[in-house]
Order: sequence, then structure tokens, then C-alpha cells
Amino acid sequence: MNIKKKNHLELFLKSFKSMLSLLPLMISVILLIALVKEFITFKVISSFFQNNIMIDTLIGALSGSILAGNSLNSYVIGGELLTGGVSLFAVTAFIVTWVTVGFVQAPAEAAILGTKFTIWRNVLSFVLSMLVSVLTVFVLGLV
Amino acid sequence: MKQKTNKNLFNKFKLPAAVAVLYLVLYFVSPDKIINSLKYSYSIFKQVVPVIIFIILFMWGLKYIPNKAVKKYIGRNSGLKGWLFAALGGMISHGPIYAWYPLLKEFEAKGLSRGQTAVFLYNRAIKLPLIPMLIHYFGLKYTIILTIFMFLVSFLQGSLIDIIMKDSEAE
Repeated sequence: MNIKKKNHLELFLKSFKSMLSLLPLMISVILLIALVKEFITFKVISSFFQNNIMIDTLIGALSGSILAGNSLNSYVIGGELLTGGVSLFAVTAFIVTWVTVGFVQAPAEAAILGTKFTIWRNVLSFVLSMLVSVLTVFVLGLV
Repeated sequence: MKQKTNKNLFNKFKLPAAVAVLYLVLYFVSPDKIINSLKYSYSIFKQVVPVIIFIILFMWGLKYIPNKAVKKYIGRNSGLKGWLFAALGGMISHGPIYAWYPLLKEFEAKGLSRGQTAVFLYNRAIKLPLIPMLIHYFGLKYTIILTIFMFLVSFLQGSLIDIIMKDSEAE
């Protein structure tokens, strides 16, 4: 019984220690997210858009890749951008990359899940966000 | 041996050290923004703690489940069922993405494919509790179409990742 209890404790401590060892990495990512949020404001983001659908979609995808945090913020910023005249292609790419591409989280992802995986996953997410954007807006125009 | 430990230690604290230097440099540029960043970081950290505790408990629980059982549902040979489980996991997972990396690594050790990990991460873009907000900002039709395409594209990404990572499974 005691041996069993000891095993449970050992297994728990193993999980605990493995998470604890990643804490410096996670805190660094949190600090980076806060830094990006503070320095890259809505005003800064909206100034990048140029009323060119193709370039704006790319800018939307890039902005979403750099920014991070609660998805709700991406909806609010996306809604504001749309009201400000930015195309739905760009706003969609922005919303999709906000979650699927993690520029700021990449160091943590690479350290835990591998560098090659992280690079390919983020590159593919970036490219596919534009595909999702084009398909969504195109189908929306049909229905 | 000592050299290896030093290298590991360097790797572990490379990012925290770089972030600390960045904060220090930017403090001289814009102290107010740095103070705000620190306050915001603290508020995020408080939100992340419960998720970390949940994931530790999940990782602990996972150790009791035999690899065979996990492989049956989410392993490389689990077929469509495995992809759907990965997608559903991504949709219902809560909290910041980086808190989930360690758990995904544990699942990979139990048989989750790299493509399925990518599917999990991609489907985090489909936030079920936030769907009403997405509808509020962009409309019902847009929300349905976007959600369907994100769901479908996640499988395309997963398949591509599986092909690309085939030669480096044991990374």
C-alpha cells in the first residue's frame, strides 16, 4: 500500500517537476506578450493597412502572427479594422493567425515540441490563414 | 558531463535572460510602458496558474493510462477518429496555448502523431465559448463559413505536417 502511495507521489512529482522546469520559459512568453500588447497598439496596427486587398491580407496575417492573447481581443480589433475600411480578407487573416501562428510563443513551442515542427507549423498556419481568408470571403459572397 | 549541464542551463535561461535584457533596455526608452507590461504580465500569470495546475493533474492522470489505450483513440493508426479527437481537444482546451505544449509532448510520447498535435493547435482558433462574440462582430453566416474552413484546413495542415515530419519523428 505504502509502495503504491509512493508510486502515485513519484508520478505526480514527475509531472509537477516537468511543468516547473518550463515555468521560466512560460513566464518569458507572458512577458513578451505583454510587451507586444503595450508597444503595438491598435493605432500602430491600423496604420500599416494600405487599402490594397492583397497587401492588406498579408499585413493582416503578419499582425495577427505577432500579436497574441485572448481571441476576443482579435475579434474586437478585427471589428474596428473592418469599420475603419480594412477589407474582410485582411481582417479574416488577422483573426485566424492571431491564434494559429505564434511568433511570440515560438521559443517556448520550439523548446518543448521541437524547432523543425514549430517552424513548419507556423509557416503552414501563416500560408493557410490566407487560404482560409480567401475561401471564407469568397463563399460568403456566394451565399 | 558538466559541459552538457552548463549547456542545458544556458538553453533553459537563454529566453528569460533575453527578455530581461529587453525589458531593461526598453525601460530607459519608455518606463511607463514597461511598468504597464509588468502589471499586465502579472494579470496574465494569475489567469494561467489554474490552467497550469489543471495540466499538471492531467499529465499525472495520463501516466496511469496504458499507451495501448491512448494509441487506440489518438495514435498514428487511429484513423479519422484520432484526427477528430485532436480537433475536439483543441476546440475545448482553455487558457493560453503555451501551457498546453507540455501535455501535447506527453501525448506524443503515448502515440499522438505530429500532425495530430498540429490539428489540436490549429483548432484552438475555434473557440466554442466565444462563438457568440464572433457572431456579434461578424455575423452568423461569416462565423459558420469561417469555422468550417478552419476545421477543414486544420486537417490539411495536419497531413502536411505528418509528411514533413516523417523523417524526424523522434525529434
